[in-house]
Amino acid sequence: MKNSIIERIRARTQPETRLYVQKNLDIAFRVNELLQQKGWTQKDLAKALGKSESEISRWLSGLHNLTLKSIVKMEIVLGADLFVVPVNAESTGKAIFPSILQKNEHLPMVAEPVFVQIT
Amino acid sequence: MNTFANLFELKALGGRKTRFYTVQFEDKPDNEFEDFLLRHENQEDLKQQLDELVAWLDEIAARRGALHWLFRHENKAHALPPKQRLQHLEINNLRLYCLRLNDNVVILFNGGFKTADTAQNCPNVRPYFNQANRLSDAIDQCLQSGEIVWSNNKTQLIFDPNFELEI
Repeated sequence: MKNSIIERIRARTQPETRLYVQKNLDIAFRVNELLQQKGWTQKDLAKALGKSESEISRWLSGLHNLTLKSIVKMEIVLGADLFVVPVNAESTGKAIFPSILQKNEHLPMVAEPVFVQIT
Repeated sequence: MNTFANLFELKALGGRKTRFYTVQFEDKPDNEFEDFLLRHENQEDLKQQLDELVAWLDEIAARRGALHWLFRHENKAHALPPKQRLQHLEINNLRLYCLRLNDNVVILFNGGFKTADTAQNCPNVRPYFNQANRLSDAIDQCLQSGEIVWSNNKTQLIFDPNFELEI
């Protein structure tokens, strides 16, 4: 039966796998949005991070299991949050990045963060 | 000897944002994308990657669109690359070759578990890499010749139901 293999794989896919993919893509789209706002390419981001363009392309595919360290490194060079943990947002949805900026004024704030609910 | 393959839309996979197509060789029982899934479906160490890949394709189709920066470029072996460049999706070393034509249309080929630095040096993926290159070239030529045309809004490909790619 045509496409039955696709249906079989969908049926066995765990909810956490779907959520992982969605959140991974949320972060990739957020990074891409920030790159556009800064007028940067992935090559610029790679240079700022001291990584190869190929590695950054892999990071932003939405299929790579980004580490928290990688996310934080991108937040630093992009000057904005990629996601916000509610407890650090003082339960009001307020981002923490502006407070970091006060200590790192050379980092430009380029965009309002996207809030991702982490349960 | 020339090989013929049918091009068709994977309607079970597409969504509001992106349609996926694949090809089926006349002497094969399954299309290339299904063959890729079937070969890895029950490999314990690749199950999770395969599930993530299908979930990713579902998400792209339904909500995101096949934006160019989500896809990884292949370095073509050809000296003169065609307009449409072969790309791939990868999770760890599981690699699926594809041809992203725009945000709305992607053609999925075959792939495998890559075990060497380059596709050409990997016995697992080399045949699929070469095949995907040939298919990409053939599709590109058909788009240029008008055997495959775009719909007005560039969201789908239009071709004769009996149309065959010759590679």
